Amino acid sequence: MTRVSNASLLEVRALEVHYGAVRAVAGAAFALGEGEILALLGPSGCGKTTLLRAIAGFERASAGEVLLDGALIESAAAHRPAHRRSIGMVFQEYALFPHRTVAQNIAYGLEQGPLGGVRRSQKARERVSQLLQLGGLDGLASRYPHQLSGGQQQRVAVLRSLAPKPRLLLLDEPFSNLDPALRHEMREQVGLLLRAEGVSAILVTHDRSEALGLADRVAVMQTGVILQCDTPERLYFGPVSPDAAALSGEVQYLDADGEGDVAVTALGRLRLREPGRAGPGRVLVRPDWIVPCADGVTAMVMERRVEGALTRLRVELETGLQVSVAAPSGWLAGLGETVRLGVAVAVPAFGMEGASPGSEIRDGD
Amino acid sequence: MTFRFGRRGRQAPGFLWIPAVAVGLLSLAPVYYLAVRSTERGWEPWRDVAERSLWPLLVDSLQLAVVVVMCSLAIALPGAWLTVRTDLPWRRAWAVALALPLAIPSYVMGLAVVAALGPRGLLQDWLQPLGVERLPEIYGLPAATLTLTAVSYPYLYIVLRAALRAADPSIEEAARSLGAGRLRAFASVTLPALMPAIAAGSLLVALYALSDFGGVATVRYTTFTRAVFLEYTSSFDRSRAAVLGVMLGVLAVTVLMLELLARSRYQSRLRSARTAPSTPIPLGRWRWPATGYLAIVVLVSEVLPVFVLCWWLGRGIAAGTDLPDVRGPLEHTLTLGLAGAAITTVLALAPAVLSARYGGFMARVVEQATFIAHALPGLVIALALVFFGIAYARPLYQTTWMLLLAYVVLFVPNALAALRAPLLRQDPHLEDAAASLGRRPFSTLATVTLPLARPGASAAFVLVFLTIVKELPATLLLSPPGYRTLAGVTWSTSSEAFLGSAALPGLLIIGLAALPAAVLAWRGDDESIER
Repeated sequence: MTRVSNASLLEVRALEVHYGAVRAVAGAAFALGEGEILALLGPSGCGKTTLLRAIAGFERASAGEVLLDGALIESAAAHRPAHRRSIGMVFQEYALFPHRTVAQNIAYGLEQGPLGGVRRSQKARERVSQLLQLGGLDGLASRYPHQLSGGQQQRVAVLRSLAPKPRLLLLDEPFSNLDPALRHEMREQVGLLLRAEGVSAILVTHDRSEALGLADRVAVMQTGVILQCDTPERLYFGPVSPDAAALSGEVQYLDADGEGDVAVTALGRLRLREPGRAGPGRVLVRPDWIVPCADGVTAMVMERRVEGALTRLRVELETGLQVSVAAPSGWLAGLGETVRLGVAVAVPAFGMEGASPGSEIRDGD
Repeated sequence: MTFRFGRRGRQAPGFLWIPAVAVGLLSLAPVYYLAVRSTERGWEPWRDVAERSLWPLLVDSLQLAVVVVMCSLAIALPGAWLTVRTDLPWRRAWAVALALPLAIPSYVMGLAVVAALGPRGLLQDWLQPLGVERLPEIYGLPAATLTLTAVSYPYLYIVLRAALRAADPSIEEAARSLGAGRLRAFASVTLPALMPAIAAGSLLVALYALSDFGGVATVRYTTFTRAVFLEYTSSFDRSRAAVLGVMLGVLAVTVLMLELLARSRYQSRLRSARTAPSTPIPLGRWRWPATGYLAIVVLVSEVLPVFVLCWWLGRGIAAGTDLPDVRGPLEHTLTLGLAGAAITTVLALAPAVLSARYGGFMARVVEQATFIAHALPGLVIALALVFFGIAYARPLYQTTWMLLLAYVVLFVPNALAALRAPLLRQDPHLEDAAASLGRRPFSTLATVTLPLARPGASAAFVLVFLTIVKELPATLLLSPPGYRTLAGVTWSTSSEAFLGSAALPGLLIIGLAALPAAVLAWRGDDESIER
């Protein structure tokens, strides 16, 4: 993965966006480095699309600031219009111009003059054919958008926004209109395209695997607030709050007693992600963190459901507590069998003394 | 400096607001001035009108509106159902034929009804040898009903056709799978789903019946419009005409409000529909009676007026009477039609773009302003503009510019509706996409929005042209002296009770209007098929 240089390209500081009386974005803050891909992850209605549109210049901020290359482009008082931001956008429904061919759509951002197309330079034509090739759309240059498949339309939308070499590319739920099989393939292709162009990007999505799989960093958002902005790894293994944990993956909590580096739980003594915790609390144990372990605790398989790559187990521990396990399908534990289980990773703790501030304990489901 | 009337964050280019607000004000000016003029002489004329003529006029006008709506329903509902849902033979041709009376002006239809069925009419001539001395009296309500039904049922028919096409046929299939017979399924599921469309279309027909002047005048049935005209032409004091005009305006605006209410309900019900066309319902042995019924409708509403006009034209030629010179009027009508359609379409562009692509409070205000003018009968608008012209715009008064101004006020709402529809169907983010690619608002308008408005603009142009060619009251009241149009010639010769002279200009109007009407009916069909 392209790692991030220090200079930040985009800075969002305490940004607020209101729709009438509704505060859609409440004090969002993050920075984006050159070449970095950031995902905004959250349920629908959490304000992530609004935040994206405010960065693009389509919504006005009521407080806070947005800086691009160190220059203020959005605040309650200042507003640089969208067309002067050099920020590209890929829309959820693609917004391809229906009266222009594929090539003309891609060329749109390269044309000069108010009526466009008046001075189409040789350079612009070369750029279009280069992009068509990059997107694998060579033969389709003179087709119209309605003659394309969903995946092809999506690629045209991405290429069109890349054509004028924007400083930053915003993608609003770009894969949500595709069927699941195609979605996976397009995610890979778009990721390759973005990295081939070396463009910085912010991607809005409600799909966890999309966010974690495509982005260098993921910001999880809920009711207008960014809960955590971290690398996929740190977010998944070390969420700072139960809400951030729930948004980034499946959750399951166990009662625990902190004893410095470890916590004592029904699944045995588990390593803590942040040592130095004491007293009663809870630890997060995602179902896929539980693995077979020769010297682990014993449990009986009560329920078993094959879901393809994963097999979901419901096991009962000796204490009578039931926990759920997402095991790789290669691990063949039959119904009623007794297995020995352990936890492979250091777990995050909530509610113990010295734990992250402001964490509320909530039962996972 | 940003100047935002529009939706939050989505900035409509500022330069669009100037023409849009101008159009809104232009639409309201005559309304305002009519109100002023009607109260100028205090309450005296109001009391006078209220005591002497309000009730009979109200009763007669509403009576006509109700009867015409019922007759139109009897034609439009089966017509729409047969051409949309069944295996009626030649149903595409019937679909267009049933919409074609749009090309026939009400005064020509009225003329034809009187000439065919009146005393000493064609029917009387033919029946004379059989010993029929007198036909039942046709003037008044019967002739008015026949005339207005023939020319206004297409409005209801078009609304119902669109609603039936959009209504999900699978709900009827669901009803049948639950054990309902074909008839019960239609009555218990499809018809209730159509009710808001029926209500909206019926109110549209009622509005037409209340606003029409030429039709009721030719068959001598006195409704508000005819009373306004008689007051205007016969008395020295025009404030009574203004008072009657205001009353008619209030009545018409009430009907339009009800229509908008019904329409908003049916549009919300139709939103889900994007279904495959269902298999046509086989008519079986009913296909010939059904065809016969539609044939009678077409015969009366289209063949009859054309036939009567041709008959009179032939008689005039045979008798060697001088035909009126129609070259001048034809030229004038064409000029007015083309210029009026072009100006109206261009002026409607800014408000259409604002309301369909940007939205927001001010866009709604402008749209509502134009629709108030739309509710007012052409005669009332024309009257208001006469007053307005005499008081404030002397240099314009009795020039063709004043007439074009009247057409703009009258028909901007039609153009607006035609322009809006295709613009609304496009992805709402297209302008945002252009901005994110670095285009300034003006450039976005020129390269994205306007090209998308092109199909709507051609439909608006054709529609307004067709309507101007047929228009009578504004043309009568506002034409410069000596400037004769086809509508004017038809009207004046017919009131001189010499139908031979009215025949040729009447036929020319139908000829000019028929092609655009057919194009619109045919295209409207294509559009709904594409959906």
